[in-house]
Amino acid sequence: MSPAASGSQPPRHGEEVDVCVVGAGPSGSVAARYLAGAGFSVVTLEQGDWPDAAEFPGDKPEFELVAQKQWHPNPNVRDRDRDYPINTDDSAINPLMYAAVGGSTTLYAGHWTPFMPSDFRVRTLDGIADDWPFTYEDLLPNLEEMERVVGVSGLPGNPAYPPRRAFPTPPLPIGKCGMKAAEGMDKLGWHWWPGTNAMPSVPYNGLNPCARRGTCMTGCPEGAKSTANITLWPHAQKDGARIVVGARVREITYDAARNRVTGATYIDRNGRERHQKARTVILCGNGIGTPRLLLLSACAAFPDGLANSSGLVGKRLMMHPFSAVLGVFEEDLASWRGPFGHLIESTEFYETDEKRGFLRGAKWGAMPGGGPLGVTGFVGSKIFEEGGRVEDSWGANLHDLVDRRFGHSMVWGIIGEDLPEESNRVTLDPALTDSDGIPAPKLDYTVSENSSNMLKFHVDRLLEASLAAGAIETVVVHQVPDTGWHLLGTARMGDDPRSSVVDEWGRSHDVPNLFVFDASTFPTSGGVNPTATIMSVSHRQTMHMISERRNVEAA
Amino acid sequence: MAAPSRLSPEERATFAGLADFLIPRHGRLPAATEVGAHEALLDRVLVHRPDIVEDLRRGLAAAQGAEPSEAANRLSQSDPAAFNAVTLAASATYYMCDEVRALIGYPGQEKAPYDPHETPVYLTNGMIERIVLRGPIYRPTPDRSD
Repeated sequence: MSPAASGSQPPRHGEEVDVCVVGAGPSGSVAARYLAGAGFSVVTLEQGDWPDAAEFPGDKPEFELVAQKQWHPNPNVRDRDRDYPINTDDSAINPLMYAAVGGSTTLYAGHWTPFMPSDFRVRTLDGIADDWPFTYEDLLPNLEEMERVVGVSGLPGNPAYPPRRAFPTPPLPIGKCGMKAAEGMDKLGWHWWPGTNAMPSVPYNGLNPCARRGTCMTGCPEGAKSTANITLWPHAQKDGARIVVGARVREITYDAARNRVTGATYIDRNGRERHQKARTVILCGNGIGTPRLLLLSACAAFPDGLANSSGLVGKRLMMHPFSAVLGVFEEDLASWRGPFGHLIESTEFYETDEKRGFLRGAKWGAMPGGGPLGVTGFVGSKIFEEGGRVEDSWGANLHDLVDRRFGHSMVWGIIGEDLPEESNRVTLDPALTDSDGIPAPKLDYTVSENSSNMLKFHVDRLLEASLAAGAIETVVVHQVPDTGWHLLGTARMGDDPRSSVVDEWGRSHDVPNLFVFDASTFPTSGGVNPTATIMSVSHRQTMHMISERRNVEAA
Repeated sequence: MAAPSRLSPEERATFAGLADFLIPRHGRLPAATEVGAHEALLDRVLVHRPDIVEDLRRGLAAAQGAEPSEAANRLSQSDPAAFNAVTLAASATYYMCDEVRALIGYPGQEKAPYDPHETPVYLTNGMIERIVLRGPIYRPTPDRSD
């Protein structure tokens, strides 16, 4: 590998680099940062822009209003030029994502919940789905390194995990809202733990401490939520990593004579087609963007999509169907206050108990109820029911509802394990395109019976937990469509080329210098928010690429 | 898409009637138009959400001259998108108003300083201890099946 070039210089026309990374979200940014640090020449192509914290609406009066449109996590709702549209006509869940340096973490809630030991051994333990090619213990050193970078805040000693290193910053306050949730769990004798979040409680690695503003999901105006543009890219650029923003990749180029990829063709911000030559290509476009790109790169040697001899590219999409339980309390909980990560979490019912009527389990996270407009967002539906009247939810009833719920609400969210099914898949839409004319993805996704049964069970338990905490009113929001935060499984890793797309190091079984480092490779989804595991797996694969640098089969 | 400033006096008057039906005076809380929900505040909302202007204007056209309760109920059935635009404009305008925020005790999404090194109460009142004493709840890594 050649020494890295200066990070301040854009790639020269025709320049071939060691590694081209596609996508600057959590996984791609980890790869770029560590590869550049090891002396690789790296160019990352990112279709979004650098996020500008001054534009985040959380510190502005219109915060709740624009959160429903310009800062909505669903790209089809936001409808920005930088977003690509997604055909969701045949999907029960809408995928959520954001194109930017830092990727969808720009809008995530920062729940830092690593996969548990059983998540890597689903087949062995429960006789379903698949085992991962490595274990929790194999990944732990990478997880601890990522936590050091991310500046995770949390309390050590959670008995939901094996003993491990403490978090780098103290836990955030759980507030009155979190304490109310904890009281219910305490009464029932159920597991809970102060929330572990990707936001430090003290200044850390370029991040400010969380200010509890409670606007995590529209970008953090405090610069306190851990995103790669803050925690990874300054280091990466110092080490020579280069990034091209506004670069929409339309094809991974492939040389059939040598069975090697040769780089990526992209449309730049000005609509010009360019090509970045690279000896190695790493895809980090998320569980929809990555299979889309592989399918777009079909060629004579791979007519069904690049590196798709297994036929699994785009299949086994997992998105974590989601339900929530709102509890309303007599006491003033100041429940607009942040963090809007999880205040407390529970994995009391995480592991399989077949008597419940489903396999695997879910994690719960308690979050604040939000501002007044968010509270009124729970009205609406009655009006559209048969015989419903506007007066049922508006007029004096609206005032009573806001008086009762605003500041007094706590929401338990359920992230349940979504088992892989080949019928849940990403394909290319025959008609829909993005703003550069590139075919858009189409989803086919149904919520499985296992997931439905799981969510019903957990909703019932959370109703018990809310009542135990003293809730005077509860509302169940079942299987919300706009909750496809977690896009997993569409280029799965495994040992067998017939039943997997890449190996445990993210390397394509078909094309030896093509890699996937994002969550497309996950064989199963776990029942927790995946960013901690996404970054850790990317780190593990990146460090392996570095250690094997002399044996890389480059273009 | 029409510019927000082009809402006519008639449209504004129709909106005022609907807004006061949706958000009337109630106890210590003022009605929507008492805080100017049909005036500058409405324009501000529409500047931030130009995407709802078209639906809003369609809703206002359908409701013009009608009794607000009847118009709102009819609109909710015949044109949910227009109804949603009217209700969003009314509620967003109302709850962005400083006077209303003060009355309901909402300071906005403000900073809330804290001492990160302060010992949390759950560490001293036995709550965490009870969880720890129950022991590990994870299933350890088994040997692989294959």
